[in-house]
Amino acid sequence: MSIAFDNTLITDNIFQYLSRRDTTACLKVSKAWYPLAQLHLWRSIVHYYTHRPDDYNSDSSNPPPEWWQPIRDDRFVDAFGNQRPSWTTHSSSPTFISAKQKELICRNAFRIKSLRIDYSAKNLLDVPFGNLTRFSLSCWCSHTKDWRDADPGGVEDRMLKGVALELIARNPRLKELELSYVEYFYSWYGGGTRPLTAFVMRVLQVLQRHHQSSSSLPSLSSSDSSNSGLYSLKPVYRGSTSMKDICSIVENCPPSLQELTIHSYIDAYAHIYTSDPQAIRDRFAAIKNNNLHIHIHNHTLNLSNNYSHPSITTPTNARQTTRTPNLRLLNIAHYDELISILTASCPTLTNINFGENFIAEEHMFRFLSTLPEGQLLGITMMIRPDFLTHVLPTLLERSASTLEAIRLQELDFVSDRIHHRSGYILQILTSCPQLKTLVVVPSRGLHSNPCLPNLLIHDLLQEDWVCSELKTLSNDVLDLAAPSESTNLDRGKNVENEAETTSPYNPELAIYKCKIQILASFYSRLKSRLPLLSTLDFQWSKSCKNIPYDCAVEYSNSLLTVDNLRWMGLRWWTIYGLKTTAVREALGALSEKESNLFEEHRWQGMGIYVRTDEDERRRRQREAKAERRTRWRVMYCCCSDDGDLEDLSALCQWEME
Amino acid sequence: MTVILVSSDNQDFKVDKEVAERSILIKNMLEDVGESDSPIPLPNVTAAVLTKVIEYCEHHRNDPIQVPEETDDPRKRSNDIEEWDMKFMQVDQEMLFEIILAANYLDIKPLLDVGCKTVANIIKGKTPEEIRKAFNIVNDFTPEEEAQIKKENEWAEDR
Repeated sequence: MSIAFDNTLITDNIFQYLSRRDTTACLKVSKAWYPLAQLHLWRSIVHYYTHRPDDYNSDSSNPPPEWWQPIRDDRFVDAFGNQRPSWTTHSSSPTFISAKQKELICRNAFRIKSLRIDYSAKNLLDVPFGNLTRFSLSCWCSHTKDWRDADPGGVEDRMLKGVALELIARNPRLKELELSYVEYFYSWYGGGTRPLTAFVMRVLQVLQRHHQSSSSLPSLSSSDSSNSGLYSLKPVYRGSTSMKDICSIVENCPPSLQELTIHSYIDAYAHIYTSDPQAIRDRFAAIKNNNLHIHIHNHTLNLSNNYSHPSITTPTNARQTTRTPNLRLLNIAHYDELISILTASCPTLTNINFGENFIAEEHMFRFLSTLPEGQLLGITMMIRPDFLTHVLPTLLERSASTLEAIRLQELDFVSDRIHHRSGYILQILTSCPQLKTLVVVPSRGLHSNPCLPNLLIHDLLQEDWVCSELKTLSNDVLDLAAPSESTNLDRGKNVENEAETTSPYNPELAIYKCKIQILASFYSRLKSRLPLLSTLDFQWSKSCKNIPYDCAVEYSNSLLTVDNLRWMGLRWWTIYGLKTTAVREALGALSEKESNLFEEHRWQGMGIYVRTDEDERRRRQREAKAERRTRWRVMYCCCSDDGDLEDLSALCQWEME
Repeated sequence: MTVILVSSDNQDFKVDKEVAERSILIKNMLEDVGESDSPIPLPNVTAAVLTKVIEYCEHHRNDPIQVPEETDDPRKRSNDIEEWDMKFMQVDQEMLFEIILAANYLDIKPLLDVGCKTVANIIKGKTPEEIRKAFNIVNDFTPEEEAQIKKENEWAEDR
């Protein structure tokens, strides 16, 4: 056994599965295990100051001993395809490091791979970190307790930045770099201060030197050379950047850079002050870095609303901003530039992510028409109903054969547009053979009723789908409707809220039966046509909660068979059913591992919820009672508290029954 | 097409080429040697271990070849071992480690991963004393050293 543990590849492989607690236990096993466990414990350090403004009285002279939180970095991808590093927030970390702790850190500095610092980590700055692969610097000054500490441009600030630069210089293996709020506020009135990207430029220069020195050395192995150099750069700005700033960043990036993510407000008016838009275009055209993916997240920061931006707001714009305050509907005229630069200068563009920027229909249309055919692999954008006439068809016409990922966020789709939604989704499913990911986030206007279904699966079944490689299908919908329900919708009647009845002559029974059939055939379509599906984001079974009891039995029996349950080991799938005999048998036929998987998903809020008859009856009674109470409340609005209401409903109970 | 593998104790094993090629080491050797019939010597693997390894490769002969991931993704799960693999790994510890070493030598990543996950599962949730017992390790720390380690790493234990 000791031979196995002598081999660090093997021990790495074993320790990577252990949690922090287990790794700490391993520290104490024996002298031979101690260094191995230490290595894994110290992979990553996050320390940043999360001062709460009302916390001025916190006693920082005796900090609790455990505050230094090495964590394993853990990236996840949200539904919109954005990778977010999960630097966790600790809301009560004290603010200084004791000498002993500092010593411990120094001893283990060479093991640390990932570091995030801000102003509060001042006394860490002389620790010899030399092996970092991820580094994040945040100069967000309003978080410091003492405002004088973080005076932009002041002594402290310069010191922090100077040492950060040194750190970057000393760590040639850096792969990811995140620089937040490292530049000063761009003075809106023009003129003035140093160029916005000063610090970033210096960082880039240092990085260039890394690249040059590493390429001059003979590479140790073939894998080393492909991995060297910075992979991802993320500047986060408090003020605004202009296209010119973006150009300078891109031009000075080391050639190994593949991802550039800029969080800032893009000052659409900045180009007024530059005399030569053509120069910008030329600069973009000269960019040699063809592998670069540029993401521009145009976000507004919620600190102060003194952006008295004289944007030309049409009445629709104004309506937009009140409804979705995080969305900036930028002035169309200036996105013109961005689009033409993109199309002209990035001939090998394969993935484009517009983030939260809404591009108007005509510009998007022009962009998609000029993009070479058969090239686009992935697109993420916001769409409005007017996109359905020209933009989406053009997209599909020109790029359907190559598209692998489509992510659309809807704006302004009113609830009676569900035909359109299922229509365009069907169009996508039937024309993109290479599609692997389809995410559609429907718009939720102020007046949309969350109980109403927002996707017609009947429509989706009309034609055969060609995308057999689809892995992710996410619609964030609350409910799927059967066709008969949609006619009810049009009439303005909501079928879901009908009181439950088990009368066999109930005409609604037919509707429900039809619905079950559609759901079952949709499900079998999913199973047969999309064998690689691993992430499915429909919560369609909420409507099945209220179907009449007999139908529920039939539905549970036909849908929750052993095969189907096995295939349902998908994430993001919520199904409600009845624990009929057949279903009980099916559940019993599952292996332990499969049952554990279902259990785990259930805890996460998605999964298969199967209720026994009794539970089901009780649930229905409960919900019916709650509904009656609501009705009474509406009728007898003089009741001020629930106490009255209880008595009243008890009084009138006999009337109801 | 079959190939002949020879263990360190000079025992011959005839296996299909497809099965043998689950080991990248053997695959490369075969490519270098070409269409020769000569047996392949594996001096670091005993017959008993080789039997187990071949059993694994036979069972998994049709699995798709995994592309190694470059990104440093630390969120690894060790509770997703297949049933057959779990039963396969129910051997005494010495054999378990021999299998791991052999998988490492022969470059059979899936088998190596399964082996390491199994060991990780043994370690999980145990106190240091229990780990020592599980692996027959002698505690060579003095009590003072132990106390110091405990104090230094108190912060790590609470998560």
